[in-house]
Amino acid sequence: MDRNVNTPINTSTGWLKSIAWAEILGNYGAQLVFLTLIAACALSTPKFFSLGTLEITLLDVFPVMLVALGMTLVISSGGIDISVGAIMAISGAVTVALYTSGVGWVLSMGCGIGAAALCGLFNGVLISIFRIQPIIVTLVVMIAGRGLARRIQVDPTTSLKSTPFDTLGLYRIAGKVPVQIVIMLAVIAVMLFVVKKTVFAKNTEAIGDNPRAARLVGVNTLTTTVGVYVVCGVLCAIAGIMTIARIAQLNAVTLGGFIELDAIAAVAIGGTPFSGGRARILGTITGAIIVILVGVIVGLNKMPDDYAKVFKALIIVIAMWAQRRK
Amino acid sequence: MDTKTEVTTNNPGTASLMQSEGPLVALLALCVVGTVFFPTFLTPLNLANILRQVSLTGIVSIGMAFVILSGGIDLSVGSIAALAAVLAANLSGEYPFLAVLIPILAGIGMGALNGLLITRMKIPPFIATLAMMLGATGLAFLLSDGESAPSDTSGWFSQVTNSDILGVPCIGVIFVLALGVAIIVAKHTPFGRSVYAIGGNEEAARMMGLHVNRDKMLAYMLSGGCAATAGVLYAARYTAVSPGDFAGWELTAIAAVVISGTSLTGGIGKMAHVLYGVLILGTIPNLINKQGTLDSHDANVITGIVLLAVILLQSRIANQEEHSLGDMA
Repeated sequence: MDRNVNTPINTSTGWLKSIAWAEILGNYGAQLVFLTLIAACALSTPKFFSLGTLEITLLDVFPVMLVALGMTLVISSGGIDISVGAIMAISGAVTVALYTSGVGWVLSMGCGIGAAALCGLFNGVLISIFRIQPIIVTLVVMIAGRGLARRIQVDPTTSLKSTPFDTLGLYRIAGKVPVQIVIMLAVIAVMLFVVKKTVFAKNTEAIGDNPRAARLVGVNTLTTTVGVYVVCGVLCAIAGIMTIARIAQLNAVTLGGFIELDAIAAVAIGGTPFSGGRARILGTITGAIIVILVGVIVGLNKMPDDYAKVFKALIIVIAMWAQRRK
Repeated sequence: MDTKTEVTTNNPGTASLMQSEGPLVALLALCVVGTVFFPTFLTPLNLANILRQVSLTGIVSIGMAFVILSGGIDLSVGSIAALAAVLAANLSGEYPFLAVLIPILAGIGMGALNGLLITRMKIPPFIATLAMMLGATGLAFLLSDGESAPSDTSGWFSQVTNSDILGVPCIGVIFVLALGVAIIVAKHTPFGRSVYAIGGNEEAARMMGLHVNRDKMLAYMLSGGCAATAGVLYAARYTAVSPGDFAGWELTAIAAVVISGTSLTGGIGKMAHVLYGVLILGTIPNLINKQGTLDSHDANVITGIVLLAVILLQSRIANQEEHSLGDMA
């Protein structure tokens, strides 16, 4: 009894310490970077702790957060989706095209989301039935999708001032909280539930871990993979439609441009392994906030935006280094 | 398209031909379409134009092919080209020689950094080069103050780059020569064989005693060097260089390598076929341009469809082989 308790403590205090450090860095690397970042901001930016900054940050986080949550699911299935920006553009273009041709705004939005789900279906089917690598399939959708979105949109830039979309984009629940923040919290809650509690997420992670083993134990890889990409597509659609609602404008060429980079960066910082098999929703949430915060801080300090890119690059490398597995 | 794939699956002879020469068949098909519908397509002037258009991304694709053959991916090539071009433009007035040398060395250095992140810090290639992409783009924009940098194109290097040899643009000659060297390197040097081995099975390559980390580093350095060379040539061709000009180059290069039949899992692919991939991607916008009523967005849609068709054709055949080997994979 005595020996059992004493042996580990006596022989290896330093060893235990190093393990604890590795564990903390491994599990909370993103969070640590996040805290350091906040501390650095608070010190260097006097106006940082104001409600205005918080609200702007959360509104900016909104599209990246939704896309990154979808991306987390995709990456945990061992895939990647670089077509997210193009899907945002397609759903936005479909919504606006239908609305301007006289369809009601709710139905237009429904069709926009449906179009994005179809894109996800296309991705999922090509990946699971034809066994084409996810990056190639989504590259095709990325290249062709934006062209298609531009073709669906009638005018190069459509203004949505004083339409229901404008009202929706600026709507505040109880006159205070922007609707985007509520949607974002709802999506986060749903994704947390899905990943922690549903068989769908377990199947997804099983496919990410070992697709062949998952198939052999009876996971329906087709429906699961398709489901993952459809969920990602739908989240992109919500992000896209809410973005055009907020700025009351649609530009299919620029909507969601390069958002795949921010989303993938958020997932990487959040600690979801790119080999698949594990979805870390809380990590992704932190990652998405970090990615946007960097831009906000650079802006508040009146530095050129391009510094934000350099800082993001450094944060990605540091986060990946902190979370590496030996 | 279904009937077409059915035919190829029923006939093993056609199937193996499509697999080995699929990219060439697709390119020839595009050329036939061009020749039949547009009288100005098959003229020396237009062909020289296509070559001029594809040469820079072609040089980038060569480096990308080595990286993809080694089982990796390099998203930073467009940014490295942008940074190299801005560096070259800034140096071109006073130090025309350094304007060529320094950016290329910088590109190789950034490639080496990619390699270090991937081999030493064990960061997945996709993320490591994504970070490099963000970092290099940021630096390129900061160096050019967010505007286009003026480039002095009166020096000898620009003169040579912009000249033609017997009607063939010099820049195209550089691309073809580089591809020739790359084919020899891939086929006949220990480095080239090692890249294929690493892409095929990294663990096995390591057990065979190959210098896996060194050769992966070299592949990324080569890719960075190729990208930077393309950037320098761009600065030598145009009097104003903006980092935004290089957006999407990494996707073009990846698409060219994928169309050429190179597997993204690494180890499979022919360097010579990269030429077909590059030319296919250059011919589509040229045809759209000649057609007149369609714009660059339609060109992207058609590029996507062609990309998908070539990949589907190759994947069906790959799956079939998988089955014939028994359910091994």
